[in-house]
Amino acid sequence: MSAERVNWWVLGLGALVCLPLVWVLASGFGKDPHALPENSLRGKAAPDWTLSSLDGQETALSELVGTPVVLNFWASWCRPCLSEHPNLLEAAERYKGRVAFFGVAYDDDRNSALKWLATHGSRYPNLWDPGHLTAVDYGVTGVPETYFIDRAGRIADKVAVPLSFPQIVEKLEAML
Amino acid sequence: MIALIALALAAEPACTPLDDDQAVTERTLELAAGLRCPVCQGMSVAASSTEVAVGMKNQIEKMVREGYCEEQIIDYFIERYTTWVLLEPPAEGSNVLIYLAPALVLMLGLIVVALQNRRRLASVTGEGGPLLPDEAVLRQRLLDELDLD
Repeated sequence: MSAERVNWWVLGLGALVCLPLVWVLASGFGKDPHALPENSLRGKAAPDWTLSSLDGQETALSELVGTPVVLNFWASWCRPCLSEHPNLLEAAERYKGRVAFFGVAYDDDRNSALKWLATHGSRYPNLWDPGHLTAVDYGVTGVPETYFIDRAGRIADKVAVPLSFPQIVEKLEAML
Repeated sequence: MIALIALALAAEPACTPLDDDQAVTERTLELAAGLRCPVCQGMSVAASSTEVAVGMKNQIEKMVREGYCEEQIIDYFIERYTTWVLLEPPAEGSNVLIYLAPALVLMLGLIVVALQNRRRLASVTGEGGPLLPDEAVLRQRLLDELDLD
């Protein structure tokens, strides 16, 4: 094709259509396909729950308004949960009477969860979530996942990796 | 407490509750088919048997039984997992381009074809301005073959 035959109108129109499309598609390459969605409940009211602990005692979030709450989803088969557990126990001891700690057994069976707690220790109630309804209500995608609920009953923060003790302290100090 | 009450009021069911088990199951699977399983690779909640997907199906079923409308149920999941949870992304922001792309490309193709046809017609009939040297030769050859001269 000679230079005189190039139709600049068609070429320009084609570029106008194709370049933004290429840009949209290319921007997808910068995203991690394994990245989990960001929880958009942060700053919003924490979904209420009434759950029984593994030893049968019922608790409701609505009864805890005025007290910061740490809600940790865990499982007995989850290795990262095991590394996080001593940090939660230590934090629960330090903030005893000021912060309410709860564990929620996720994708587990009751006996395994109880056995795990007997082996690794427990200083706060661990709840049973039938049908994972509470987990879905919070947008849980796996374990461990920890939700920090402030005095007003709002989700102040969510962490989807095992928490270190300093991280827990930092988040709680921000809420107290 | 105020926050919890506000959440409860904002989420009042607005549709008729379903109580027929088969209808509930069908509705649940239909809605679950449009949601992306958060821990799978491009799989819908309906197709996945992971615990997260099972929990999500349980929640959909509960909401269907309680009388939540389709839009309310979808919004519930978007609130927790963002629009990422939708297998069919909404036509908003830069996503609009993806939805418009087929129509735009078709339009562009039609314009190109129309321009080419016009040029071809003009070169045969001699309209459309002076011909380039090679076009003139081709035109003459064509007219000779057609014996129109």
